[in-house]
Amino acid sequence: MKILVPVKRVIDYNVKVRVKADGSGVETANVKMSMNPFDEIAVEEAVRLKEAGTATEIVAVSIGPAQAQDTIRTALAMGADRGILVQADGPVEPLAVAKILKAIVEAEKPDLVFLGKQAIDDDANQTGQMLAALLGWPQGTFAAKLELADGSATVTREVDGGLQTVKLRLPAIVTTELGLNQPRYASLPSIMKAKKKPLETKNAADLGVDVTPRLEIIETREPSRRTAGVRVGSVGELVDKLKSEAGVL
Amino acid sequence: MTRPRIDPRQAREAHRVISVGRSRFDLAAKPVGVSRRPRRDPRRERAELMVADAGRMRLDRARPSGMAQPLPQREAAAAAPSVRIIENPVFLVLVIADPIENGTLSAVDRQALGAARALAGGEGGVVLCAEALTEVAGRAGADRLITAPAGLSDPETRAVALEELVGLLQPRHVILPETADGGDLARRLAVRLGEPLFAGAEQVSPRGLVRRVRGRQVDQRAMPPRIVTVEPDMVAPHSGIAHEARPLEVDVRWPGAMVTPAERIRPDAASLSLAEADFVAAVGNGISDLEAFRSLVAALGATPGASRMVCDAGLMPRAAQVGASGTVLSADCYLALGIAGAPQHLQGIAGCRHVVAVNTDLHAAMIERAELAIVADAQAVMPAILRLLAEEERQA
Repeated sequence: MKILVPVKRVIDYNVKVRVKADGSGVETANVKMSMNPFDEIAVEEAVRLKEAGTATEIVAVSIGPAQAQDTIRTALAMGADRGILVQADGPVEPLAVAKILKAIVEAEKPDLVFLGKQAIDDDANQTGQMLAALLGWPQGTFAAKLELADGSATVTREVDGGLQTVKLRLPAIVTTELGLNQPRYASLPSIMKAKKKPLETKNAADLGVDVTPRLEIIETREPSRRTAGVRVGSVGELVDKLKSEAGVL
Repeated sequence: MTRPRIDPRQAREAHRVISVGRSRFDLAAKPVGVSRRPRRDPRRERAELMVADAGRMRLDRARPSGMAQPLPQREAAAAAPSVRIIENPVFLVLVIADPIENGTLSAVDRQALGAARALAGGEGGVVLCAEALTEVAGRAGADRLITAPAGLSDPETRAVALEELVGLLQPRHVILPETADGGDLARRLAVRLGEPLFAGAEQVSPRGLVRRVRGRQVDQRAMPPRIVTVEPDMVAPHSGIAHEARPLEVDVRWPGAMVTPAERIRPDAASLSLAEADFVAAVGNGISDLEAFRSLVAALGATPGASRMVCDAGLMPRAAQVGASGTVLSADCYLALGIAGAPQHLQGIAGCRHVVAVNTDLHAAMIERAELAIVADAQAVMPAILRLLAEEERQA
């Protein structure tokens, strides 16, 4: 069984993000980057399946700049077998990511695609569902538990106020929730070994996908903080302010 | 009510004629002095305080007399404009409601309609596509109503039909709630239409949508694209004048349901936190038999709560306390058993849509707050409810 695990390079979750002064985005220069934590869980789940003998090959895919190689190497160090980097500069929207992944899935023909339920940078939570819709595959989103049987996967999902168990026919898409597992730290020997594992580089344009953003973000800013209130001296002043400033009277 | 009050002693004094020996009174003398206190007419006060159609009085505990200010009741109802009609909308905003669960629009669907109203403004029309024909649609802000067949719950087949619907109506925006069903449908619709999706909008206006990203540390603002999902509990539902919700016939082939939901395991109500629970039954000082209360809560599938008195006595855990110093509820229904309704307790249930009270005291604040009240000993009501539930179960 072949498992495809898309991974994303994001700002490390420990870093306090700073918004650029002109509101065009967040500061990414000289900031520690790492693999999206939800994707780590997806890689871990795939590696556990391989260790259990269910899976035979794990392919890690990343879409992003050349530095996303490091993210793929992290996945390789955790136990993935080979990597594919689809180079694309600038932000890539979920729909474009899903289209690129569709092209890769069609080339690689995996039995399962494990994705993190969302990336911690834009919190969109769209790619998994969009990929499932594009491929027409069954999906198990927000998986908290996964069991594989012959030709099917049983996924326990965390939905609002409870758990839902769905059975998926393979091939299928699974997006991972936090409770699925505890990702491992890559050991030093495995990090060294990961450097020798094969990594193929492709281009988004070669796959026939246009990655220009279609949703224009006008502004990125810090959420407005709650400001201190005003103290009024008398009831008359309060009524006056309610009339003129608040406009409630 | 403002007829001057007469003090008989003072009136008699005013007629006194100054004389020696026996007291003499001249009753033909000019009228007496007027006391300052206005004379009350209790019958008229009572009539003014009657609630128009309910046949009961409106009491106001904030006033020392206990009497409320008379309300202009019938006149106000007649003067309010009933329905806002947008005959020829300049553009359309389509709202797709989630599969209906309790026979009415859910809170998130109302919020999605509120967001659509904000985007439509005064000229645009809001079209609601919901599973059941609901009269609440107009009040929630829908101008037109498209009835989708019931039982369609899997997003794959719904997305096919909705793509066709979007093609027919050509709405400027399509709004869905960011729930398990709505969110999934929005992503599939985005794929089918090949358009970007703005997921989880928290502030909605025609000038821009705002969503929180990077673990809620950063706000992202964009012009409203075609497909938008609205984060639950972030956008206010429509609260103004009702819209007409005119039924709209569209020629869409609704596919048959391919997947039917088989089983949905609800969380154990007793283990839910009070703030999240939909149905809370609370116990007060009027109850001593907590065993009966526990079995009632289990039978009703309610989350147990308690008043401060009961928690202080150590009969219920502190986490179960409802009120200002306990949990402020957002429940749909609150059942108060033997709770008088201290102001601090009533603060905790201010957000509850329906309140049912059981109390022996007709004048308890909780009875006044409740829409439905049983004036009886809660101790006796509990086994009665249990018996009725058991009977119902036996028949079913």
